[in-house]
Amino acid sequence: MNSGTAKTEQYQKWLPYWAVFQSDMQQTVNTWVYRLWLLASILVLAGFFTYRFGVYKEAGIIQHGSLFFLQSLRWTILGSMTLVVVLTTGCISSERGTLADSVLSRGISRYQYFMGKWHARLTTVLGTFLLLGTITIVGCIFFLHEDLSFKGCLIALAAICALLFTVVTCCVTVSAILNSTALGIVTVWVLLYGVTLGLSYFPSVHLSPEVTLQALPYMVKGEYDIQALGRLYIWTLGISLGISSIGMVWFARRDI
Amino acid sequence: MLIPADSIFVIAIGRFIRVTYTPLVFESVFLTSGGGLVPADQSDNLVVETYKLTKIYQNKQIALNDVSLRIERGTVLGLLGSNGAGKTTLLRLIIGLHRPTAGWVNVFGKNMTPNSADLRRKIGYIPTNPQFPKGMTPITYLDYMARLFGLPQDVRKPRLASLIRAVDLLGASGTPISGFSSGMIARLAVAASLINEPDLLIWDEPTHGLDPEARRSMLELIKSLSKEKTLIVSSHNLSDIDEVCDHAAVLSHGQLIFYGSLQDLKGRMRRNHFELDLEGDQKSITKAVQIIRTLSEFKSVQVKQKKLEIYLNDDVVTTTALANLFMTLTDSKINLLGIKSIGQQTEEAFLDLVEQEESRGFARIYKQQAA
Repeated sequence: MNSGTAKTEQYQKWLPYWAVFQSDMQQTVNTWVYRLWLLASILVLAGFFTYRFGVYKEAGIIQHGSLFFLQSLRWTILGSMTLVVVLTTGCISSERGTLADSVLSRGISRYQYFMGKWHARLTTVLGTFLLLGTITIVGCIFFLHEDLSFKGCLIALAAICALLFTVVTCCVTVSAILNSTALGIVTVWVLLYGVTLGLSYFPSVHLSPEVTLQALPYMVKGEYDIQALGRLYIWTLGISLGISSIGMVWFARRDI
Repeated sequence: MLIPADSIFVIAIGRFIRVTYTPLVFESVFLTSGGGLVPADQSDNLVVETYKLTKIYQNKQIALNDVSLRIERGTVLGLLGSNGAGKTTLLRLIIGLHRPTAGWVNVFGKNMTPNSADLRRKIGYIPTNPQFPKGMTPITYLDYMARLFGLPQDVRKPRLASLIRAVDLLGASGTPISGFSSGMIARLAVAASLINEPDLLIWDEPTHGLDPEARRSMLELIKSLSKEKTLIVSSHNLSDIDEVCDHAAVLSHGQLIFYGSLQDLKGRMRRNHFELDLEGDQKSITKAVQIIRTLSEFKSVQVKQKKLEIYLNDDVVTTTALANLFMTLTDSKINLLGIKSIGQQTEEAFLDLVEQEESRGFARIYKQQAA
């Protein structure tokens, strides 16, 4: 009879987490939702940029980089939010069942599985957004009328990343709690609208998602309140960690 | 099987049921699967132990009811039961995919929970219908499984290569799994369950959907693995269980109605149908059969050429009846070439058990002694 004591020393504790992380990244970038999101974003940005650049070159009408940057970010936030929600809400619920059986019956804890999935989706969504945002900034600086502050642009990107961070965390948590992806998407939308509506009643000194979007034109020009932004980053990080902890504990206690 | 102390339970002896009251507390003593008493300090040898394990899904469905069993190291346990009896639920509870509503599961002496990754590293599991992530090949899939077990590269790569060779998937090692036949999927699932070199194997219906050749290979594999590992095999196919297992657990409507050695299970079934191959002249055989028919122990005696088929009455002692039969044959100078008990014993014993359990009616409130 072989004993397990000698074998336990061979195990690498965080390898299961990395396995889930890498596998989920590969799966995500191969999904049609991700490809659609990427393609739509690139087409919208390219079309919009070509139009602005054409107006500037042919008609001589000055096109402010800040305005273009702002409008392109709005597409990312509002236009593609549905696809981001669809992309992230199904990450655990769509795998529940036999496939999850064959993963969770191995030497991985529920916490590691949840974190692997969560971090993979965060990396995919935020990485893609940052890539598109960087391309947009570079395009604005080189081809449109330059009224942008590079530092302001980075801070604006970071502000939107903070909001996306919370949205993705919320989606993954809902995915870990609910069995149905469709129900998860509806739940996330109801939550997002409800929370955004609730936050809009707060004084404008607190940066709600709505206030943040309104402040973006000033941010990209370098006019921003670093303390308010600091509070935004801390709050979104805190809320995300809180939501993910609830999701993780819930997922660790439920039947698969 | 644990005996509930200070409680009423029912002991079944043959077809009679006796209700007994046990006010004693069994201190540090447990009934083993074989029915003998062993001290509790031998529990180090236990691989799986469940106590009053109960699973109720969302207060709607009772999937498992008060299951207590102890599986010792080296046991090959066959889990029997009809559809919906609770076999898969029990296996999922043992592996930590489900949490018990009541009771507990200990694996290798530690409590199993959904986060017990260290315990699952010693377990190899095959679900009923294994499914695989899209776009993976046997190499990438086994590598993924090995990484889920935390195996470093210098351990997992040679091991997965050996396993792919062993399960005869070398030619298809780079082919996407989506195009695999059910036999190939079963072989890959076996490889995945062995990648961590587990001490305990839990295979849920491993021969399901396999052709006779693949089924034979699977049974041979179970036999060879049983020499060094503990196995729990769930199956609808009773002949498979009969062939490879040494212990059996029978579930009916979520309740454990039998747990013990396969011999015990067969022993519960009354064997009253025998077939004898005889040698001697036909006249003597016919004469002997006429005498046997007059004996009270025999319900039916048929002879076809030199093959004698006999049915015993229910209430006779088998050895006495057969002794009388052999005496008659000896007197008639007839030689016996062979004798065999007819019927698939495990299957009949299983059906008999389930039927017996059903017929108990409200007496099922009290637990029957399982072995």
